[in-house]
Amino acid sequence: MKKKIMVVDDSRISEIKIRKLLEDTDFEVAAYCENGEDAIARYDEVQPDVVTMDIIMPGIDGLETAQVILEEHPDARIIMVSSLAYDDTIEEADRIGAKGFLYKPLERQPFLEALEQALI
Amino acid sequence: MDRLISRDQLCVMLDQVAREIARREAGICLSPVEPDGDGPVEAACTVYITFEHGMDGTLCLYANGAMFVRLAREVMQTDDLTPQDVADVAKEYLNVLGGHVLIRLFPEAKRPARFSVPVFCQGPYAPQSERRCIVLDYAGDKAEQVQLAYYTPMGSRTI
Repeated sequence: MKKKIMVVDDSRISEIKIRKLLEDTDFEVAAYCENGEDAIARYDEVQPDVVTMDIIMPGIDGLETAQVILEEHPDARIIMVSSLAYDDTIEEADRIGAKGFLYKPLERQPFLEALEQALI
Repeated sequence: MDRLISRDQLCVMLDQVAREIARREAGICLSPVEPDGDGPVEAACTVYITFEHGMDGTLCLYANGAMFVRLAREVMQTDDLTPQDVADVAKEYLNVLGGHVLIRLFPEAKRPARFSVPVFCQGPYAPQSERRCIVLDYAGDKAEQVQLAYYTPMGSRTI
């Protein structure tokens, strides 16, 4: 059984790209959420192995979303993804318990390595 | 008045980022070419972002339809594209490009510079009350035409 990824990103293109990156791997996109509120509401239902979380989104941002999910599910594995993140953002992601951070554009090998690392 | 960056520095940085992201996102090689006139390239479409909070100005990407379609085809890896697909991929490209621009401008500072949600529109868009101060023209490796233009408001503190 493939490991489940929940993609949280206001850009549907990101979800499409992640699906492509995960072809022929042990991972699959199990759910796509286009905002933080949806991700929080669906986390229980989806029970992903790993969440990829965009940071800048309308409504609550990815950091806040990650924090809420981790408070409710301390074992959640969340990788933050963004095209824009300053040092303090990355520090904050680490502080709240994210398992990694990746800059867009995602590339296959680093992305897969980050997913595997998050599962350790 | 202290400027954030010189025009030449910003020009070099925009060029590097635009070409790097096109290559990494879609495997598209952009080659700089001499500008062909003062206005935007005869653009089929424009995608643009507006900077705010620590950086000002508007970054516009103009391209003919072939470029945007190719970008979408490469990113989505399908020929079965809708106009919405093309627009969304173009917006995501500029979203990534804009993020990398700000990261390079503010590698260590904690300035909360951001940019607007990318806007995609038909035809050549130019922001009102701003002047074009950087224009970069490219040819794609399949003869596509692309132009990246940075506009600043009068009295800009960016450059």
